[in-house]
Amino acid sequence: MRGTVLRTGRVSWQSRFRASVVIAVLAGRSLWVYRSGLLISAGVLLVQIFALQMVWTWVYAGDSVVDGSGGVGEISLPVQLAYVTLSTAQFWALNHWGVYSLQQRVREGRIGTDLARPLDLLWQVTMGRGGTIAGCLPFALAALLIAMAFGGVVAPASAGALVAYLVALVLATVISVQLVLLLDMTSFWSLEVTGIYLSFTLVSRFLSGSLVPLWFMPDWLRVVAGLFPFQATTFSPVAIYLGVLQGSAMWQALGIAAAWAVVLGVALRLSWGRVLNRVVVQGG
Amino acid sequence: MSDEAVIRVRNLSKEFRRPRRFEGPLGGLRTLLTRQHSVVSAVEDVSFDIEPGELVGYLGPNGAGKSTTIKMLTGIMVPTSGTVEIAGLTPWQDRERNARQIGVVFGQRSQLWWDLPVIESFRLVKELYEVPAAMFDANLAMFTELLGMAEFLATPVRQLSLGQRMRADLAAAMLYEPAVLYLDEPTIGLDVLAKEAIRAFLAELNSARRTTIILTTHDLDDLERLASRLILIDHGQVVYDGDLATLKTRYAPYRDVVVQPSDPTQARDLTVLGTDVARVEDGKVWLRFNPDQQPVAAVVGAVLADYEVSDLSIVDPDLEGVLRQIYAAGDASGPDLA
Repeated sequence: MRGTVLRTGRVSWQSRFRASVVIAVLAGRSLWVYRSGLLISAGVLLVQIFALQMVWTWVYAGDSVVDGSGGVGEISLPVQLAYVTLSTAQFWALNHWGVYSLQQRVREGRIGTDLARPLDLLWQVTMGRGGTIAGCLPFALAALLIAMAFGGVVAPASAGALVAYLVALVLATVISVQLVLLLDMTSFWSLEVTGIYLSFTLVSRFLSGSLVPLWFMPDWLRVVAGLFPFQATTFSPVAIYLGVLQGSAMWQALGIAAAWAVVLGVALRLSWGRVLNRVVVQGG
Repeated sequence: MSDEAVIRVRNLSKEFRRPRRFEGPLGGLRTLLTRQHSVVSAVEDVSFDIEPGELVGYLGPNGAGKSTTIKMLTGIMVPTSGTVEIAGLTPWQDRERNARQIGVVFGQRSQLWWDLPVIESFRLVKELYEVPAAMFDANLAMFTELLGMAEFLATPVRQLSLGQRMRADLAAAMLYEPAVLYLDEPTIGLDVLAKEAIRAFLAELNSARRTTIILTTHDLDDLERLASRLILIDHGQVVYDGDLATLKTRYAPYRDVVVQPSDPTQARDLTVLGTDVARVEDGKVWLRFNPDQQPVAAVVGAVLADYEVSDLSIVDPDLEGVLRQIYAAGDASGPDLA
């Protein structure tokens, strides 16, 4: 055996990148170990999509269009059904449970070893969450394909709308990950987080527009939803895809999403600094 | 204190603030909202140096502050006061750079990916620590052989026995050849064979690679087998820092000759000048004496001259007895030991 040598330099960015990719891949693969659970969850997603489609078809009651609020004009039934399908699948993929979570690692005292690694822990858990979302994607796409076969999806409004949707989807993913990590950080202050998680799920589901699109909310509620980042995770991208938000409204939605990504990124970094000073590893 | 030290700890202290807990109706809510705190001191004014290649046992009773010290040394926890330098770096201020030169194994936690084959976690270690492919392959081959891991490299971690998991965790902590290895209870709950495999591996790392190892354990056989130096901590303070032999001499300056007379009835009345009868049990008698005042040969000779003996052995004081005595004495051990 050789003698050990002290290595006190930083790890190169190439190695950081490779390690980040490996963490994401391992988080995704860990999720796939529980593929039967994932499959059942995707089946429930499909049932939810069909149920919501039936509800909205009944609500339209033979009308071909219904006026939306907030100056979006008329919303046709096919657009509404496509919104329901896409938004439900997208919310499912971005908010699905994962095997790798900061909250669980804090609870089990595993962040001790995480913190003793040469890669920022905030980045490690970000990649873990990213890997979880990537692991969910094939199942969400399969559900979408099935829904499409039954006419629940329409083509994007235009090529430009598709490109803008993809940009909005990336921002939606970033914001979703940031929100989950901020939520997970509460476990550094309190281990009784079930109530906080339940409240978060209810609020985010509603204000993101994944249950009811913002265009069918009363004005005051739509204004309230606009004050939170949740609408950028579901409503904005899907509304852009469908061409309901276009032109200046589309650019405004993208700008707001980008601004939220920056604000939440700064909030995460600032909270993280405080969190590290109060680390107590559970279980001695 | 040495200039060569790879680990330098000065006046290290850690206090925890805990909110006051309320009982009774709405007790949970009052606990949540209270501004009243109690302060618990886990580590108090601890100082020591450790030189490259030392294998140090860091021990103390439950709640003495061992794990808290290790967490501050590894940069996981920020101390209330005091300084730590690991090869010139302050661990909690320079976490990432410090992490490259240390390996950490917590016996009750794993750094391995629970649902995936062991080898997948090793591959992540390779990327995280920028291990060259040749070094990774060579170390993996060597550790697989030394720790007997071939049979479970492809097995998901959750299917491993505790002994297998600990071996894999130890390998993961050493694949990148860190200069310092922290082990927190590495043999807890393991069977004799698994313990021995881990001890042999650590002894090899320490002697061949001169890896500096800090070991916290309740298993005193680990320390007897491995540690060249002990740092004993109690109530957050260092109460002894030195080698094992000195500790025993200072706290248990005696030896026992265990005699089993051929006639078991003689055991109760067996006496030898210059010795005390420490214990009589199962037809055996433990004669206790101070080897500085009474040579071992003289005691053995006296026994054999006066009695017909079927078995006889000389027993050193065990570390457990020594520690029991120190812990029971509490702070009576005094600063002169440190």
